[in-house]
Amino acid sequence: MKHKTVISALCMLLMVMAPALGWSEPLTGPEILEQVDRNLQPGDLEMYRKIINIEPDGKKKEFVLWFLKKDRDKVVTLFVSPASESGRATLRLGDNMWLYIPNMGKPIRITSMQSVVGGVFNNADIMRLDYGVEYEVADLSEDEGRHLLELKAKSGTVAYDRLMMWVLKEELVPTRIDCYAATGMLIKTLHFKEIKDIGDGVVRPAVMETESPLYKGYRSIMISANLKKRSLPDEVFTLNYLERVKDLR
Amino acid sequence: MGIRRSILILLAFFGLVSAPASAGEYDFEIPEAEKRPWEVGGRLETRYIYHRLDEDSARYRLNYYQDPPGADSHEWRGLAELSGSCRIGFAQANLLTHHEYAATYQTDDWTHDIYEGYVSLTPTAHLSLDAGKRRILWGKGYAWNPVGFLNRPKDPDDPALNLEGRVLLEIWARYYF
Repeated sequence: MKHKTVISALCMLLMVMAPALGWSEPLTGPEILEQVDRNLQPGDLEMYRKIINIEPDGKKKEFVLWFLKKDRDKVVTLFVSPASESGRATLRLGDNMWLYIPNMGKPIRITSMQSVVGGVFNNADIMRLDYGVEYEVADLSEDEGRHLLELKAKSGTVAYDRLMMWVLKEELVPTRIDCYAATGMLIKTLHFKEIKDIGDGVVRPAVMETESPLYKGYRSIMISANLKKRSLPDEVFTLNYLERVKDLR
Repeated sequence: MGIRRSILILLAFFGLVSAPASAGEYDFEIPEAEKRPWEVGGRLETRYIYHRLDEDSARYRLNYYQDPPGADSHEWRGLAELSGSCRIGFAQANLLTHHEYAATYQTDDWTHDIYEGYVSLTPTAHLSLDAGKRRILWGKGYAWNPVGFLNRPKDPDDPALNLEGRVLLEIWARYYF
């Protein structure tokens, strides 16, 4: 009887200690994707993004955007520099995107595969929603000590039909994403680099670099910095507010 | 030791000692992220046009019957737009001035206008109040708005140009629930 009690106590202790000892259940694909989203864009926030387009001859063009995100599917960006683009703003609500140009009137509708800054990044890359909003996990495997997630678009309106995402096991942030069209053609590769605190204690890759077989020799780099957790009302994420977004900076 | 140090200094001077590729590859500083209480900006533009005219054409006689310029004429235009804003708390004052110089066969003078000059109060994201001279944009059109009754006419060649505003008081309130 006494032995039984001791064994039961040991079993209970092991059950409690198991997660700490690393004996927990391995993460599933959807859990990894959810954690990746949380690590890359944790909740409602504002941050600055510097986009550098590098042409084959070495010519560079830089843009600085103020980036606002609310919930999982609302994004507003405001062009801060260069001066010729200052005041332009974009809005993304789910699959829909608009561009506001000062003096022009009402915002005009844009598509995810266009680019408001030129270069290799398209609008879907710049105004990216959480991956979990647009993609579901089709397969989970392991490659070179990293999780390899195969993501399939939930609908045909998403910029890329399929993603192959390599995720670091410890940090649960992506290091590389290959983006494929529905035909299976590789559209672009995103490389995530320089894991560091980009503000408000959020540690994630600060640099996203891309190259594409469709734009040989061209390269685009996006640097994220000055992140702050900030929750703005829903009104800010509407078409009529784009003209006034600059007042909230 | 001294020679070695001298060589290193020389190499460094001529840029032959390079830092590791990763160091300094990315510049994480975004100075624009620091919001200043004031901002100034501007746009400068100049344009020269040489006109060669057929004095025997019917159109020449129609257009220039009062003041004929001759077989050719020169036109030079210069434009400067200066903008500035100053923010104190939730109040912001904005100014946009327009200065244009035109030298044609008929005229040679400057025009100076205040396109915008207004104060904007934004105590919350739900409410804002603008008072002063401010541009008005009605309608959704790109170059022309059929319902833009108060809009100044746009230049169809460049609809993104700044336009002179109207004096107004605007209270803008919006709340979603």
